Amino acid sequence: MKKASESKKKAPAGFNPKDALSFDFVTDAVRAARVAAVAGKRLVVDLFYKDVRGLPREESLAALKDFMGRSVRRREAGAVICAPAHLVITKNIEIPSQDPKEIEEIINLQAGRLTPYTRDEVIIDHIRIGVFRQSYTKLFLVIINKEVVQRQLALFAEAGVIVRRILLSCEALGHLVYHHLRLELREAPYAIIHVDSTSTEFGVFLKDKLIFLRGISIGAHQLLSEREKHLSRFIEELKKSFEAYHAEDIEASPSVGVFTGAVGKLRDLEVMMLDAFRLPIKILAPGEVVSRHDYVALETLDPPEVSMLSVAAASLGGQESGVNLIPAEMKLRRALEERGRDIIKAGAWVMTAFLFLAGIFLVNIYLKADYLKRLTEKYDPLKAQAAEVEEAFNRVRTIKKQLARRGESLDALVQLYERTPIDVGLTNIRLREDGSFTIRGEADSMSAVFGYLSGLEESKAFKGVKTKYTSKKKVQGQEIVDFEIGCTREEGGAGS
Amino acid sequence: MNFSKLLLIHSRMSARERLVLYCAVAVILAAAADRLVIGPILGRARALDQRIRAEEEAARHNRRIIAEQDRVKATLATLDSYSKQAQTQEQEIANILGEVEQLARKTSLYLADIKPTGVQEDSITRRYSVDLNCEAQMEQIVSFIYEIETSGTLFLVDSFVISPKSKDSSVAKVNMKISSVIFL
Repeated sequence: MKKASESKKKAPAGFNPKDALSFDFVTDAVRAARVAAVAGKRLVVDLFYKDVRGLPREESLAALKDFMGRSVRRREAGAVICAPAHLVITKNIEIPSQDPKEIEEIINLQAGRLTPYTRDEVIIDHIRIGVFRQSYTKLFLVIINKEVVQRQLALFAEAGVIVRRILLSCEALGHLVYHHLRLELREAPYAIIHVDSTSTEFGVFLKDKLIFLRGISIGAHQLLSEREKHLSRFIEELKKSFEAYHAEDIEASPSVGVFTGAVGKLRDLEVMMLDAFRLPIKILAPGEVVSRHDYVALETLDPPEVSMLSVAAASLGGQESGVNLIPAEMKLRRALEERGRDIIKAGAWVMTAFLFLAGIFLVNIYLKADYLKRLTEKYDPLKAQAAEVEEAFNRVRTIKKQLARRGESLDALVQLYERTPIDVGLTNIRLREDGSFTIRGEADSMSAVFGYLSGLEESKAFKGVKTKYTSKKKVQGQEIVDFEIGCTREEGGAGS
Repeated sequence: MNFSKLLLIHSRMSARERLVLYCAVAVILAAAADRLVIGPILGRARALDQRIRAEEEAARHNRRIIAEQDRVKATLATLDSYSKQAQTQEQEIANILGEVEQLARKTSLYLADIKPTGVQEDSITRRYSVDLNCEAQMEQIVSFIYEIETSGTLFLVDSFVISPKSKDSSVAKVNMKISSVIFL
């Protein structure tokens, strides 16, 4: 087969950077597809096919690298890879619980019983079909050998492909078909018979949910090259698939069969299948369901004997898939990386916000410092002038204060002189710096002392007039009263 | 311990443990940020605010003072005779003692002794104190005080003790403390 997109090496302009990239498991061929948003629509913009049957691993690797080499941007997006039905074991089981955690634990416990491998040798995922008998959950189990997955992952890793999900090719196809035929399919189950070159997948879906899957090892190549030999066996295998589905008692019988994939030269099987299964069959060519860019030729999407439908479906709707067969440790690593990225992102946001705030503060400080500088520059010349005036003002104040106190002592003496009666003799007059006045003297009688005291109290030149002591003594037979009076000079009371 | 191991430990934590961890980390980060970045920045901002307020207040004060410049200078001119500039301390003391002696003589006061008792200095003035002992009639003492307090020098009688020289004497003994202000 001609390489599908060799004619177009460079990606067209106007692509959304969030490209979707998908690959099929590399078994007998390397298949890849890329989807991009073009003018608001998701379109298949690149398809790749290379038959590697009988070729060494290096050839597969080179083919993958060839596809990846077309654009660096696509590496960053991460890819989904599709596991074909013949590499997985599927089981329909019922679990007596509805709790997802409990269901997970029961599946892990029963894994050994459901497969010929130990739990560590397989990867298990499931699709919840629904609840029945109130407490039971119907599950569609998908089991794959871990070693097979790891070999594929190693190959893709070597080619520089970051694998985000591993899904079932038939499930991705189911999403695509359901979205295309939604109005016709409604709520009833339907079967998809997807024919590839050397195998066929028989899947039963309820809406876009895969509820049954069986692989048939006859494909378009056998049917077209040795039709007589393989056709009856093919029909027989399909019958067995229907019987197996009915035997599982999962859901109602499919209302329609969708025959798709490499069906270009197998359209005559429609009548045969209608007869065999008593079921309306709808043939769906890849070109009808896959939206592709104009430069992706129809022959690239629908080459003879090969189906590019599953890989195209995976890139168009792979993220909606319910199954992810990535190994648990890888899932954990991815989750941790994701969480690490989230933490780093959160840290970066916090740091950015913090730096932003710090920036605001620093700008604020800068503006304040600048304002202060301008203020100082503007008013510095005033300082010397103001200091000079202030000094003059202080001089004036000091002089006035000193002048205001002048005369107080003299006035106090004058007041004292005027208030001292003739029968009172003063022996000591003391004026202290704090303005307190002490007057000692002698009088003929106590009444003269108290009269003198009253006179001083009436004077506005003194305040707080009180007797400190009075004592009587006899001098030369005459009674004399010694006294001491304390008071304070009244500021501003001079002249009263 | 590398980052992925920490993440693994983190992923094994319960919701409650994570909440406590997040709260602890948030508190530690907030405290560190406060101590190392926010505190110093806010401290600097506050210091600048204070300096700006002080500068603005000083500018307002200076403007007010300058507005009074003419009035203050005119007042000072009228009081200029009192505003004597400082010389050396020895000269100042000699001048003060000389002037007090002259006033004592003028009022016929018998000056027994006179001595300087100290100097007090502030930012603009120097205040000298003089202690004197004298004897005189009461009228002479009053005249002396009057002369002192009407002198062209900023003299002031701070304190005095007056007592009769002896019983029934009209002469009084006086101990007086006089101060004088000189501008620096």
